Amino acid sequence: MSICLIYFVTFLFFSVLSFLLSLNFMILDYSLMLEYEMLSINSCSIIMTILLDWMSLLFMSFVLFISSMVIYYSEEYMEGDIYLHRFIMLVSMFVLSMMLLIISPNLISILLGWDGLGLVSYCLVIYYQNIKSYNAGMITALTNRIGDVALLMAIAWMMNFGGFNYIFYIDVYKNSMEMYIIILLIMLAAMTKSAQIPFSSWLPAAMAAPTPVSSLVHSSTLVTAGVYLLIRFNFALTSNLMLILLFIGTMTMFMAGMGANFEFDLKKIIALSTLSQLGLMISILALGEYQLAFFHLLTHALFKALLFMCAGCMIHSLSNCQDIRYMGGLIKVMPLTCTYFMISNLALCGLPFLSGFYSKDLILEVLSMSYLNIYIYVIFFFSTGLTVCYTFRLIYYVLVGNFCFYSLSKINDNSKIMLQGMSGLIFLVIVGGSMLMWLMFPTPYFICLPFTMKIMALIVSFFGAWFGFELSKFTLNDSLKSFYLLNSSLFFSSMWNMPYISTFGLNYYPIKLGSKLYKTIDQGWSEYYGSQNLYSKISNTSVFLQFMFNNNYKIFMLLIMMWVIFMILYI
Amino acid sequence: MYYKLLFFNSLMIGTLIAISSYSWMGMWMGLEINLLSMIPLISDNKNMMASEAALKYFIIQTMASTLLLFSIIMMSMKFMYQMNLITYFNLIFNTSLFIKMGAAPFHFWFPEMMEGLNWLNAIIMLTWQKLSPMVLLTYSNTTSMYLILTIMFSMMISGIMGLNQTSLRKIMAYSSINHIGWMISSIMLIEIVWFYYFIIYCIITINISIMFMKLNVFHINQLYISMNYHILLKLFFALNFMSLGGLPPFLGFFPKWLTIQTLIQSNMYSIAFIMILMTLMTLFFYLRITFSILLLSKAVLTFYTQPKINTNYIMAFNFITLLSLIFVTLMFNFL
Repeated sequence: MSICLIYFVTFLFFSVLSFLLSLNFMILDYSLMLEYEMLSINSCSIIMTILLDWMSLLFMSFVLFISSMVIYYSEEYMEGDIYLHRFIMLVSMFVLSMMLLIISPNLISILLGWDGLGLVSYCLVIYYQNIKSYNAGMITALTNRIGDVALLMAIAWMMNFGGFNYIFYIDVYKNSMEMYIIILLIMLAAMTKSAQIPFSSWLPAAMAAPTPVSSLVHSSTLVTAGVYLLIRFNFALTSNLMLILLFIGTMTMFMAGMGANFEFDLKKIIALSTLSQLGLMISILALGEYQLAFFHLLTHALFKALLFMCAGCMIHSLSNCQDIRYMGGLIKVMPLTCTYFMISNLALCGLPFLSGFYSKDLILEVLSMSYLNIYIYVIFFFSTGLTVCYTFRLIYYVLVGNFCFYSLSKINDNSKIMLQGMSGLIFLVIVGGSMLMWLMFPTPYFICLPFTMKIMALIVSFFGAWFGFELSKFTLNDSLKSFYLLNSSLFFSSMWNMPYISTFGLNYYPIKLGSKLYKTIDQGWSEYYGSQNLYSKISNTSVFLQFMFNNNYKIFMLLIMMWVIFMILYI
Repeated sequence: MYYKLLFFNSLMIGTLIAISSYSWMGMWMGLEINLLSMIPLISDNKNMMASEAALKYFIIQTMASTLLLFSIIMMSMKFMYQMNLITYFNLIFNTSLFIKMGAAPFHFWFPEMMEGLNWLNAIIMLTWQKLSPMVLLTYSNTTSMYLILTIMFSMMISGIMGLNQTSLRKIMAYSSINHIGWMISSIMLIEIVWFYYFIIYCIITINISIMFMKLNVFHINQLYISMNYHILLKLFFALNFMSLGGLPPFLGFFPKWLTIQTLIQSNMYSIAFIMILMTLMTLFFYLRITFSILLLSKAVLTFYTQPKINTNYIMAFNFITLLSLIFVTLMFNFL
């Protein structure tokens, strides 16, 4: 029995278990809290806490289900890899950290899971050992490190309250200055983990990881950890912070949706789509609808995991080629994979009655119901249109058209294990949305909108699809439309220059200063006044004295006599 | 060569007379006996260098003896009722002793002469011949600026000059000059500290020099080959040099520790500071010898057979002396 199968069965079992428990807890409206006091210093107790309610159990069951499928899937995807055991172990460690994060309402135990996520995701990004992975891993780890530090500082601030169980203090967050700082730091941590705008550049870079990792870690679970943290803290967010978060979330959504339209790397397109959806979650959270954010988090995890698995299947068949310009017409050679790909893509777009529809449409309608300004409204709907736009562009490039890969290629749909792993998810991608809506919202949302606003989502989706097709259409004698505006294309495709900001922008001056200091101080003045010059002075003196002392016996004796005579003369 | 036995005995007797005599004249006489019996020990009619060394030694020591005798006579004259006159003759007296022991401004004969000696004579020169001038210095002990100047000169000259040497005998000579500086500083304050210093210095120097003698090496580059056939000896050799430099887990740290503490208790901070700082240069060339031997990849020649030497007693002795810092520290309570 292979290691993949062992972990697949284990995770699947626990997934089903926690799903059933979640249903039970939901029906009973019950939550369970286990506390184990480790030690108590200075009337500040350090407690390991486990909080089991329907939310954590449901999220846990989804994470476990997706990870079980991904592990099953990676048996074939990672086939022949000599470090497969390490890979599976790392993924399991990741799941474990995620569990710790989900079930703990305590900042210290959250930090345990949080740091575990950062470390394991670093290890997974650098799994393929090359320079690109190394750089990607470094930017991932360091960006997440900011969040870790913010969380640590929040822990330090929480010592004022004599305990780290934030769940008890959530009511006083809005009244106290210290708690304001804490929630600010928590927000910062969540923003780094969920790759919101100043920290976005790591998410596309992290696509250097193996595709199953991207599927599990960088689409459905790790990046949603920040959203989950904010969901747990949502009562504490003051209205100012909500507005900041809303602005950042919408900007991220727009930026990522725009960037995905210019990207040619298959995995990066999906990564940017993930980023866009994260922005959506954050912004609906910032509107106060934390349940909707959680709902979208779960459905998004399902279809995005499947999307990545399909992409991995294609990459696997196309001998590790990720560039969508080499693909095309894959529907003819890999029909089942492409069907899954299409389903999850359409779920992402929010095609009615697929899982994405229930969450996304609800979010948009709740937004339309609310009384926010026109900017927020426009950017929400524009980003929805962009989602459909890049999805149809992707479909245009990958699924239909001419086959653009090498003439000699072995592309088929025979990868049985991968398809089985994907098939495990497809059911949930289709019915997950409606199922979750029935579960989570016993009383449906009341939506009352004029007809045009009601169908606005549909209209922008149609326009998005049309533009996505038109803008990416390319023929032999005509260049891409985006080449007419080369500078703005470059700007949008490079995520509004964010990768430069978080790499060269940060370290350019320190490194320059370091080189200057190294040249002037380390190799310059401190050598001049320190070791080298001192050494050369001493050895020159030594050479000089050697010359003086060499065979001048008579002179030295004369000098001694002169010294004695000099002394006698004084008497 | 049996005459060497005779002269070796008279060498010992001369020193003993010098250090145990009640009168200045007796001391002078002991020094003369010591000098005159050292000359035949050095001289070797097959080696011109040895003869040259003997001559150099004779000339310089005679001059020193002359000065010594001169200052003794002048000091004992009746018109020496003024203290400051005594001070001047005391300076001449000290000068002569410094020449005899080879302290720094009067050291120039010492390394040159050492270059002509074999290792056995070098051991005598480095250790036993230092004894009588130092004991005499304790008798004319004045904490004067002159002594301090000599200490500083010894420190600087030994450190700077030793850096440029490849001859092991010269390195040992400069190392001895450095230790003379330390010993003079201990003479200046507490004689018992000098006593410990001298004994421990002699032990370490004899250990090192016996190894050189057994392996028959005179220059640094010879060490690379000779030491490789005796790996354990190499280790002990290196540790001995660290001990000589005064690194803490070894015996050589003990006298330096005492001296530094004595100096600080007498509020002589700056001289202690200068001594420690200048000894670092000495330590540098010790470590340069040992590290290059220990760390450079060794070349063992297949068809070259080093004459087998018995290193057991050297090792045993080294082992005891290197690691006896704790015991010496304990013993210090009872002495």
